[in-house]
Amino acid sequence: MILAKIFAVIIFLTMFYLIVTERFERHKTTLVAGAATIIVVFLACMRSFGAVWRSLNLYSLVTLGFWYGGGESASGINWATIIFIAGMTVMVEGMGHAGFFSWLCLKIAKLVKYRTVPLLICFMLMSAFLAMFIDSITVIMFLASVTITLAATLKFDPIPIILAEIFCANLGGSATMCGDPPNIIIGTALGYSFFDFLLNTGEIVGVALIFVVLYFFLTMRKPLLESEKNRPDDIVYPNPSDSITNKTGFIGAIVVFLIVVALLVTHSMTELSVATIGVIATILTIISTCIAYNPKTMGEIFRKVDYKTLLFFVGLFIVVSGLEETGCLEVVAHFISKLSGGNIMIMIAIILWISAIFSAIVDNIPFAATMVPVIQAMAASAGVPLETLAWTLALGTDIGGSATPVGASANVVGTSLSAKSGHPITWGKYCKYNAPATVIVIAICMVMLFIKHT
Amino acid sequence: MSENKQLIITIGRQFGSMGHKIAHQLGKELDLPVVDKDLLFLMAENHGFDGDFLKNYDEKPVNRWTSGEARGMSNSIEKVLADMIFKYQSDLVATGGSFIFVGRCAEWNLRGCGNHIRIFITADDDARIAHIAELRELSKKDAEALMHKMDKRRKNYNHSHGNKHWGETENYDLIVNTSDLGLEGSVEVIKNYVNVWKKKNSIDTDD
Repeated sequence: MILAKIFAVIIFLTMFYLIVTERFERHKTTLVAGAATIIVVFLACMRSFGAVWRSLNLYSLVTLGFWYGGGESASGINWATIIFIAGMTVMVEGMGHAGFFSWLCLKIAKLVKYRTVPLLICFMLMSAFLAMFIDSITVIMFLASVTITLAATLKFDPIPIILAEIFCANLGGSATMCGDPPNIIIGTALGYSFFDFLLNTGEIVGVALIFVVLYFFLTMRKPLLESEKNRPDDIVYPNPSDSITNKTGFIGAIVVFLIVVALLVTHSMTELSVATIGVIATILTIISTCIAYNPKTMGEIFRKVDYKTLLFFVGLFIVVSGLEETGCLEVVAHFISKLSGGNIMIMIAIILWISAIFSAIVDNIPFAATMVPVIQAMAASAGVPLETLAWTLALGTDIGGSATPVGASANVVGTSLSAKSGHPITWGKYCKYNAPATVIVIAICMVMLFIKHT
Repeated sequence: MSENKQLIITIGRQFGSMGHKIAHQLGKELDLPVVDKDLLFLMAENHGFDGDFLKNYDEKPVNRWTSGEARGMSNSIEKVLADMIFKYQSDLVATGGSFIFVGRCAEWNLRGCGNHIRIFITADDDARIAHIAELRELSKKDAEALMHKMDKRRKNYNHSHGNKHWGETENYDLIVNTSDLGLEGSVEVIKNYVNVWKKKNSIDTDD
């Protein structure tokens, strides 16, 4: 078993190093690491086909509880996460194809009469709200693009707004179960619902959002107001309706979105699992697209689905199950429990800040996937409520990612779009605004977690 | 013959080997436009960038530790700039005109574009150090340090964009050591090569 432990750790660390340095595409890295875990750790060292079977977790797909009634296995590949993300991606691609996001952004810009400071606040709130339901990369992709277009037309610097949008997308994502991949992993692995997240992380995020809006308003107001003075008089403002590529498709996309949001909000009552909701989102998008366009368009939408991310998850979950099966994560759990001396406040502080710092530097998905079994073991051994640790982990990993340009995928996409449009955002510039905001929000989260859970 | 007028010359160069000067002299003698650092300013004009700001990121490798990728996008300004440069190079070639491209991974980016001569300019270390020291008014020690730093940077830049054999023989049609030939001699050698190549491949770049 010692040998299995050593190899599991070596494979995990190598995988982590390769993900961070991006020497290879990250899905290839996790898939190879996953295969190495199965061959070296499970088969060669442990000689256990049972461990292989548990890590692949295929049997969960044919159980009723996987689709209806709850009860997700925390061990092995978290298929619920993968199916849900796939379904939501298809839906979001359908919405983007119909022009929904561009229309929404331009409509709001028009409502605030294209004034930059109200635009900043509205786009921040919209970024946080949309990220509660759809992935933050898509939110930023559309919001940042519209911001850049408006900036070119209205002659203002888009960087302050893009930075604020990125921060709010990550913050909004941490409010719900489906907002950010770490939350989906935590929620599906530990059996929490959309509402559980909303009432816990959502409440804290709501308070933090007030401070964040205030922070960005105070720091970004001046340059935006100054740029407004240079605005030419002969501007041709964009028409929001021009973004709509197909009216039937547009209405269909909104209907599908509303149905899926309703299913997510009520899934603890209907007992539909998130995997089922992901499948429903896909089916509804297929129907809506085929009615509005044609099956060929559906093919285009499917081609845009980020399969590499889904494969990345498959490999990652196998590697983490290698650590779990060999008992490595229990060691980490005992270490943190010992360090905190069983004091729940210290435990919250350690998990929150470590996950925030870690997520600011490296991808938060592998970290969250690794930490789920750790907090389970901590809850069992130290007698701490699992819920408390789960919300702490979710907030730390989701919000910590905002601190640096590489902390979350939304940051990478936002800064990349900005650079391509002639507005490069250096590390220094990014961290100058978003790192202090991250520290402020993590501090707020810590205080609120203390108040609510100790 | 009139259909075969395009000629693309890419010049890779070691730092201090006079590659830049050779490219411009060659351009003058062959009457071909040279695409060098100035393309940054052209791009800056087209995209609303600050050209001086871009210079800080030109021919710099992507730092793996400070860059991330998502959905095919990168936060690295070096990478964004390099992609824009590659697109600009390809767009220029697509116009059908003939050009001399200096550095910036052009030999790799434009591979397979047809009528493409890949040249690499090198020189002995002593000659390069002397050249750098004179040009930049540096001591020999500082010039040597700068030479190593820039060579490493160019190599890493090419490597990070897929050009794994930068400076290696299999990557080029002609490698010229300028130490003994000097500027004029090197240009003469390259010009002769280009003329023979053009004749052999029935290329006529003259209007």
